[in-house]
Amino acid sequence: MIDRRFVRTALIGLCAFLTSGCWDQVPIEERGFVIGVAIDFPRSSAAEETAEKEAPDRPEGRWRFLVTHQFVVPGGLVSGSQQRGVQGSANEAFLNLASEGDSLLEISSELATRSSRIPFYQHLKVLIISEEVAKANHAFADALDFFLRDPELRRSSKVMIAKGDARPVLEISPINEKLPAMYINAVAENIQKNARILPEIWLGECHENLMNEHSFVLPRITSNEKEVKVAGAAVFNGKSNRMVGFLGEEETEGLNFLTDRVKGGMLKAVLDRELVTFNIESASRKIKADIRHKERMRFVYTITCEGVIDETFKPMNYLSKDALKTLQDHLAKEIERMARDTIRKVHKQMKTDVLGLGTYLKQEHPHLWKQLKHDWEYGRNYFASSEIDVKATVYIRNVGEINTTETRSRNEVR
Amino acid sequence: MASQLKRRPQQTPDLSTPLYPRLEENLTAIKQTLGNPQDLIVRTFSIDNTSLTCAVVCFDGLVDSDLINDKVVKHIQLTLPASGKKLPPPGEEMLTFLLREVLSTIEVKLESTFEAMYDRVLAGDTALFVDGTAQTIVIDSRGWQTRTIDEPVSEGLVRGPREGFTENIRDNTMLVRRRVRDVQLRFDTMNVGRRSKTDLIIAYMQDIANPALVQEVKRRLATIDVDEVEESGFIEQWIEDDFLSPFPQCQVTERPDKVASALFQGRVAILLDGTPMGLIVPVTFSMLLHSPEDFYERWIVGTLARLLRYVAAFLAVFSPALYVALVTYHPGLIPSDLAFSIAATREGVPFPAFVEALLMVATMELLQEAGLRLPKPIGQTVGIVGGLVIGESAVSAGLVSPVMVIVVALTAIASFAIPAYNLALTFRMIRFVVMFAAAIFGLYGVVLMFVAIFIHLANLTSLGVPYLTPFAPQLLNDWKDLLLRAPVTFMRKRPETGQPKDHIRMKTGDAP
Amino acid sequence: MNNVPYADQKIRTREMVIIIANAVIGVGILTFPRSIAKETDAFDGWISVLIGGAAVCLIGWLLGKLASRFPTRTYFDYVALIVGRPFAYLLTLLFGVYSILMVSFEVRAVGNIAKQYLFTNTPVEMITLAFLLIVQYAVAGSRMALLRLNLIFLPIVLLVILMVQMYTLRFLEWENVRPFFSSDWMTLLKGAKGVTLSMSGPEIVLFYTLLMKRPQDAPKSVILGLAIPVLLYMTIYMVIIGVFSAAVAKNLTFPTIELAKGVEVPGGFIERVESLFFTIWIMTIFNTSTIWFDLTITTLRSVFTRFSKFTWIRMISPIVYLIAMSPQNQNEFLTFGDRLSYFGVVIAYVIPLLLLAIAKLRGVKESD
Repeated sequence: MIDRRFVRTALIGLCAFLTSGCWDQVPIEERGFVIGVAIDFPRSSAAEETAEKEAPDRPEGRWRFLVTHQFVVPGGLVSGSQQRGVQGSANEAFLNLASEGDSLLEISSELATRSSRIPFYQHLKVLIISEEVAKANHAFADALDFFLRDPELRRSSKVMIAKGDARPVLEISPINEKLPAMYINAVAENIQKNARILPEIWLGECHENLMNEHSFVLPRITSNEKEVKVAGAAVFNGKSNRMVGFLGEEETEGLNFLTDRVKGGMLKAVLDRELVTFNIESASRKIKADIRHKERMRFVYTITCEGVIDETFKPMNYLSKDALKTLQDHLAKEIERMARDTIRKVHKQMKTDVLGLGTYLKQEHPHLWKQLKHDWEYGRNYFASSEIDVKATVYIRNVGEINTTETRSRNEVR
Repeated sequence: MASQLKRRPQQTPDLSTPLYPRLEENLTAIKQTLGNPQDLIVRTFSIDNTSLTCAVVCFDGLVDSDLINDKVVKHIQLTLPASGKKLPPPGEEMLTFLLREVLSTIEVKLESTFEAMYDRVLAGDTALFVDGTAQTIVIDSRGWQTRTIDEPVSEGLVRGPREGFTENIRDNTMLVRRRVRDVQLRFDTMNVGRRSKTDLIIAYMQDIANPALVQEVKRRLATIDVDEVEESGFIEQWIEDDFLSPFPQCQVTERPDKVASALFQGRVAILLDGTPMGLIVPVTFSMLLHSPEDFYERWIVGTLARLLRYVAAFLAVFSPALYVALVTYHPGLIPSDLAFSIAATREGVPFPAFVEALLMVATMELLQEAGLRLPKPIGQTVGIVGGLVIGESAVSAGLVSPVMVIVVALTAIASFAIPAYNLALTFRMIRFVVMFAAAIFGLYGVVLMFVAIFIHLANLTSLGVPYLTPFAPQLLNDWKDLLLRAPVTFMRKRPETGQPKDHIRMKTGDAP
Repeated sequence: MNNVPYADQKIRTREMVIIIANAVIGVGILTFPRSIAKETDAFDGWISVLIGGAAVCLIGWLLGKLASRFPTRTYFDYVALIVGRPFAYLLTLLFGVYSILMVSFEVRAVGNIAKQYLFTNTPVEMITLAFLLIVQYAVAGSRMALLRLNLIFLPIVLLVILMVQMYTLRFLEWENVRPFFSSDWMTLLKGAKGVTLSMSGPEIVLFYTLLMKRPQDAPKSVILGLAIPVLLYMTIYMVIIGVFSAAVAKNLTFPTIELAKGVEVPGGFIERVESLFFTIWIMTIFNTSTIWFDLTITTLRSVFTRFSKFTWIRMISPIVYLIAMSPQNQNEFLTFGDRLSYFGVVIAYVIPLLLLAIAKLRGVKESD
């Protein structure tokens, strides 16, 4: 039986809670959901000069950032009928606020002076960083520190590098979608249809990449007024964590093949001057290494790809084994071409191992890796002095519903 | 107490006095004690053509007049003379003669004190007085109007018997006896209430129920010392272990099939005259969430229904609190699109989520309470229409958000899914407490409340049996009938919750 | 009340297993991956868990043996039997101090983590106070009820932890897992030390054996009870390293919570599962705290028999609160925890083991 006096004391104690107020209670409609953040370097130094004038002795950081926050305006999301209490329902469902400062936290709190809603990051979907920031020394890691350290944030926001400035990416007004950040988020997930999109990289993964010393890639995003394009990749050096350069769309496709990231997409091949297109369903790769001599290691990638013929301009009998074999060879050559382009750029030009060879060595030959870890991309740069080759095989599983679209006479000259 | 009776101004004769030998004196005394009410029938007549008078005393309305007319008065007046039997001398022999040879009713008894006679007559029996004898024959002639045996109002099932208890304890014992035709069935009777003298029956199976349990039940019932006992709820509140707890510690039922299965589990049932609600003790939390239909349907259906009810129990208590907690403290937990649309619909609402929730839940409670008082045809419609209309208008007026209406509706429906009405009431109360906790501490508060509720449940006992059996203490054998309902052939042993004496209820259990 | 004599008043072996498992799963489960990863820096830290766990199992088994030699005596009683009353007073008192510190530690842990992950503005004092009140409520009830709560909460906790692991498995990257074995024995042992220290809890068997139906099963139940957390820790560690890689894991303050953060239930039904995970975790800390609080009361009552249980609760709670509030920041708190575990090793492991040795040597048993 519970002692009655104890119960009374406990009750009094509990009443103290009721009268003291709820500190953390924030009604949901007063939260400023931030769904996208873009980080740039400021274009003009006007703000910096004003701040300098106001407080010349204040502590300064190494960089100044211009950060754009995309807030959701929930009232704009609902299409009208329920809204009685809203004053002049806005057409826009989002609001971009930009602010400048030394540190991300400073910027975030500065927003509180201008916005009626406090920034709330738990629904952050995309984090876009301009290439300039990515290329600057340590700026990339610095920019991400706030997002990684604050417990409010999740590690699953997507990180992308913008070609040019990051801010315009968030300022697009997409036609079909209400919230640009959600739109970008959705586009980045379309890797089933296109092998030129680098699969999404999460903030958490970025942290891993920054921590270990392997070089890595991040998806690239470009924008014009009404839409974005997520294709291409930004290459980062593992040790300095700085961006080294971009890979174009085709180069990214090659990279995806080489790093086993292809989930779908298409290939083109020319056969007798006619175009045949192939819909990729899956692809995989294996690496074989010859490591007898450290200075001249040989790596051979074997890529296997499966799919169906979805479109073709060449009339021929697709049901014959020979025809298919020729086609498969041509497609395989196409993969090899793209892969070699990528390898050339990454291997010889950038000298950055984003092909996964370092990881391969670490897994398969850990002792060797322990030895040459520090000379892989730097020092003696065994990566640059190695040889990399590609062999591809394609399997066509299906040629679709029809054999040929039209009949053409043999003698017709195009 | 008895001494206070004696000090009362109006001089009632001491009721334990024996009856007078003279008929006239008896009748006068009776009329005086009872205040000569209009429904008191005193019919005097004579036996044969002797000068021997007798009288029947009974209450109109309580007795089956046909029985009295046919079997008693007629026999004495007409049949007796016609039979030509020789009459014994007046006195005890006369009564015995009447008892054995004349009256053709089944239940008769001889009484010799006023008190005993009043007890029986007030209960609906008839007292037959014969001049010259200081004893009376009391004939069981109860035949008042009772409700016909109908479907139990509060515990209807789709599949199952449609008999429910009535206010007449005799009907109720009949219903139980028809289902338990075992010699070990015991109906121990008691009288509770000093003035209402209500009949109470303790039912149990002699060879299954734990004797300590039966003993304890009887002990507790014996301590009842009040004037009147109107409903079994009174008994429940008197014998329960912890009256401060919001949780019910007795199971209340109108169904004889429920009582019968409880008896076979080794539990004790208490039936009270004047109310169709019987009590079953001991009870555990899980038993309150079980419905007989789980057994009458097949095991998969039974299992799913049961799981659904557990979920419903959780929702009934925690839904509004979770809504308040998530919306106010943790919008990050809600999927993005939903979060935005909730925020959008809450744009114009003037109240914080907690106040909104409180208003809506309170309104719903009001509707439910009001719905109880309305006559049947109106009640249903008003309930539904009222709910819908109020909800809709409140949303359009911008007072509450649509999501809140959905949450409240869900809560209400979930609490209707609980088979035990008293438990549903408990949930309605606890809901508010948990909402407060959610409003102060968010999800943390909800968890703390969850833990606190379980602490309370773990400490609670129902007649000594821990409330959370068989979750804890873990009686694994009983788990065949807990969250799942195992196929019938698996359930070979009785549940150990009541610690019955006899454990086996099925032989071998081979499927046919 | 409980005047019905047939009500169940003893713990069964199976229930004891669950109680011990619950007492051990505590604050350590959130931080241990970091400490192991710091030492081993690789996937094979799970061996450390195994070694550490085995060590604790052994000690726990011996503790169980000590307690089961005196199946119906309290700790105070049998210590008195072994080394005499004055020492018994001292040792019991020391244990009481240890338990108070344990309660404070656990309670503060909840406050800290709640503050970090669930609240921003609410002061730690209030959060901790709320938790302490609930713990008090539990301890004020019957002891059996307290222990039964373990039975109810542990399955829920295990279920949620397993679910978190299942759903995050798809983020497992083999490159973090391989190579499988890369550390040498010394590093593994160092990691094991951390594990052993974070798995405090089996010493409760010294006090609860007398409530068991079959006291002779106490040692066995300790081993089984410890097996659950050990297995759990192993799988958690493996999944964490696989998902995050050791380099990141040793950088995360609470790797287990970060793991829960990454869970994405398909269909996007629930996000931010770590709040759910955390609220479930509160339940197991609650169980641990109540057990320690109960032990405090038991030990102190054996020494100072005058006061009633409720007086003790009222006296001890403010002390617990003050101690809980004394670390000023996260670091101080962790240091407090470290020192406490060392203290615990002496009080809860070394001393009882000595007692067991003495008891065996002198042939002291229950019948004395």
